[in-house]
Amino acid sequence: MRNLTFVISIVAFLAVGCTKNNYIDTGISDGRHEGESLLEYMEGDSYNWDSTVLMVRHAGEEMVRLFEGQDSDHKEITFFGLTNHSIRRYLLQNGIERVTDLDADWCRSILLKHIIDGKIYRTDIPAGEPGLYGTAGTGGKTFTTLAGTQVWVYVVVQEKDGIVEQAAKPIYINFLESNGLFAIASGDIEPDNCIVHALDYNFTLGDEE
Amino acid sequence: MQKCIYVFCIMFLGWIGIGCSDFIDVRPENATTYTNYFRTQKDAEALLTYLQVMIKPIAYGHIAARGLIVDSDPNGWDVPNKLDPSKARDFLKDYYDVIYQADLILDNAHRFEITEEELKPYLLQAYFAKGIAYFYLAMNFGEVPIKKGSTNFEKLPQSSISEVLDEAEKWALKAMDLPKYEDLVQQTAETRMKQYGCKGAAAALLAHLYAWRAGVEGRSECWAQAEEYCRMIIEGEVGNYQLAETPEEVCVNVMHGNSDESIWELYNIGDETIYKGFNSFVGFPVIATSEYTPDNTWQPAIYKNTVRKMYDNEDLRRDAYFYGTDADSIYLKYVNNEVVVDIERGEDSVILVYDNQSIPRAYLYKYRYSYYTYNDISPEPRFVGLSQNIVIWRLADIYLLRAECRARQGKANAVDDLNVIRRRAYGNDSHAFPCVEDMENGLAGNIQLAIFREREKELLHEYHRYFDIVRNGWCFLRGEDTYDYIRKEISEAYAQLTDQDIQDGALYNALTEEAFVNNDLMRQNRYWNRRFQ
Repeated sequence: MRNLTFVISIVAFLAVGCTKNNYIDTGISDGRHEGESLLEYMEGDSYNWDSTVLMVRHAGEEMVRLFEGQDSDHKEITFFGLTNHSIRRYLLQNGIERVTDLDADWCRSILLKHIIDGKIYRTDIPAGEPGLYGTAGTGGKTFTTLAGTQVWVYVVVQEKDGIVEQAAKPIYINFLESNGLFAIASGDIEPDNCIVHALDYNFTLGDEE
Repeated sequence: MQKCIYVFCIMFLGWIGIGCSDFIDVRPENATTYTNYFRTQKDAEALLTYLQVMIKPIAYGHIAARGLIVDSDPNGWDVPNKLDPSKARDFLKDYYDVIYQADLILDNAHRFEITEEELKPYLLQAYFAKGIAYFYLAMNFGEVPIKKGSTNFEKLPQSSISEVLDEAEKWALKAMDLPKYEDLVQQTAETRMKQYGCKGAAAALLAHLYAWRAGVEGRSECWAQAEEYCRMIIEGEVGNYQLAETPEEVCVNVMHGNSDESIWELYNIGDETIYKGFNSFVGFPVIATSEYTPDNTWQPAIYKNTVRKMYDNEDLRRDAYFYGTDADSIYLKYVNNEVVVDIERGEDSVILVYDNQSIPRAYLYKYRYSYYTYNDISPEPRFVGLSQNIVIWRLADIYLLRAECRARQGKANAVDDLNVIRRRAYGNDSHAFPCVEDMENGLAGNIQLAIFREREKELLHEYHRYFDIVRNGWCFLRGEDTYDYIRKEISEAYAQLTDQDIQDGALYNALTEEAFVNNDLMRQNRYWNRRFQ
C-alpha cells in the first residue's frame, strides 16, 4: 500500500507538476514578405515605419509609385530604410510637429539618397573596414543612389574561433556626402521586388547630407 | 620509579620553558602576515608600487572639473559648476587608501631586514604620498579626520582645516629629503617615472601648500614661504627643470609626459582608461572615430568665440591649444593613402569639407594622444582614453605661482615671472606686462588679476583654475583684493553665494554616505548640511 502511494505521488507530480515551460519557439527568421510591395510591408509594421510611409506619400506620387514597385525605370530597388525614430528625432530637434510640415521636395531628395537601383543582398556586400573619422576605408563597395549621391557599404565578418562563413556579418553604410557612418539594424527584409536594410534607430533624418 | 617520573617532569618543563622557544616562532609559508612580509627590499618595492597605484586617482577627479570654462555642457555633469547637491559629493576613500598604504610602509619600517640606507627611499616616498593626500583632502574637503596609523581603526572626528594642512605640511617637509629627480633615476635600479616623489615634486607640493595656506587661511607669511619653494624649483636647486620652447612643444611633449618642464605627473600610458572621464572636452580631431564629429553637440564644449576672447591673435597658444579656431573650413582628405585633417585644401583628394565657422565649438588640442581598443561588435576602433601622462605641476605653473606670491607681497618683480610665460606664449617680448591688451582688458592696474588670467590661459584644462579661484577668492573676502573671483569666475550658482555660505564650506565637496559608515563623529559641513536638508 505504501509503495502504491509513492508511485501515485510520483505519477501525479510528473503529470501536473511542471506543465509550463518558458521556451518560446519564435521560428526561423524569414525576411521574405511575399505578395507585399515595399509600401505595403511598411504599412504592416507601424511601430517602425508609419512616419516613413507618411514621408513617402508626402514626397509625391512619383515616390509612392517607386515604393509600390510601379516605377518602370526601377523595377527592383534596395532601400536603406530610415525608421520612425529617425524621423521623430529630427522633428523634435527642429520643433516640427508633423511629417507633412516638412518640405516635400526635400523629403523626396532625402528618400532618393537611401535607394539604390537593383536588389543588393547581404551576401552581395563585400567585407570592409572603415578609415579614420569613419571615412570610407578598405573593401566594401560604393553604390550610387537614385539621388546621384554615393554610399559606401560593407559588412564586418565577426569571425569567432575560426568560424567565418556562418559568422555574423553586420552591414554598415557610410553616406559619403556627410561622412555619416551607420549600422544596419536589420537587413535582407524582402518584400516583392525590393530589399530593405533598416537603419539603426540612432540614425537621424538629415544625417545623410 | 617515582623519582624517575619527577626527573622526567622537570626535564619536560625545562624543555618547553627554555629549550626551544623558536619552535613556536615560525613564519607561515602559506599566508602573508606582518611577521613574514616586511623583510626584503623586494617587499618594500611591492608596497611602494601599490602606493603609486593608489595615488593616481587622488590628484584629479570630480572636483577637478569644477571651475572649467564651458559654453555648452549638454550632459549637465561634465563641468559641475552648479552647486547641485546631487553632484556635489565626492569619495574620501581614495585619499585614505593612499594614507593607509603609506602608513603600512612607515608603521612596519622596523620589521625590514634591510639597511637604513636601503629603506630610506621607501620612507621618503611614503612621506610624499601622505603630504599629497592630506593636501588634496584639505583643498577638496576642508575638515577631515587625520589618521593615526595603519592599525588604528577607531572612529575619528574631523580635524580643522589648519590641522589637516599642518599634517600635509609636516609630511611634505619630511619629503624634501627625497633626491632630485635625475638622481632618483640614477640611484634606483627600478623604474622611476615622474609620478614618484622627488625633491622637486616635494618643493612644488610645498609651494602650492603654502600659497593655499596664505590665500585660504590668510596666513600672509606663507606667501614668502611659497615664493621660496618656487625659487628653489626655478633656480634648479631641487632638480633640473626647463621650460619647453613653444606652446606647441608644451602640447606635443610636456603634456605627453616625462618632459623637462614637468615636475610631477601621473603615469597614464596605454590601456589605462582613467583619462577618458578626466577630459570629456577632447574630441575631434584628436579622436579619429565617426562618433566624434566636429559638429557634435553631445560633448561639453568651449566655443570659438570664447577662445578668441581668451587668446588674442598673436598668442601662439590659440592655435596650439585649439585646432583650427580661425580656419574657414576643415578638410578630411587623403594624403599618401591616409586620412588626415587639415585646414588647407591643398592638392590632395578631399573626402569631406566642414564649414568650420558655422560650428560654434572649438576643438581642444592640448591633449593629442588617443588610445583605442578593438572589439567584435563595432567595425571601428573604440576610443577609451588618452595615452599620455597627467601633468599635475610643471615649471610654467611654478613661474606663475611665484608671480602670484610676489604680487600678494607687493613685490615689483612679480612682473618678471609673468613675462617669462608671456614671452614663450608670444614668441617675443611684445606683450610684456602691462601691454596694450592689458590696458584694454582692465588688467594694467591689477597685476594679481593679470596673473590669474595668465594662469587661466597657460594652464587651460590642467585643472588648476578652480583652486586658483578659491585661493584668490579668499583674499577678496578678507578685503585684500578688489576682484571677487569666486562670484565672478565660475557660474551663476557661485555668483549667488553669500560670504556666510563660503565660510560655511560651499567651496568644498560634500561628503558621500560612505564617510558616515561606522563613524558617527563625521559631519557634513554647514553649507552642504543646509543644502541636503
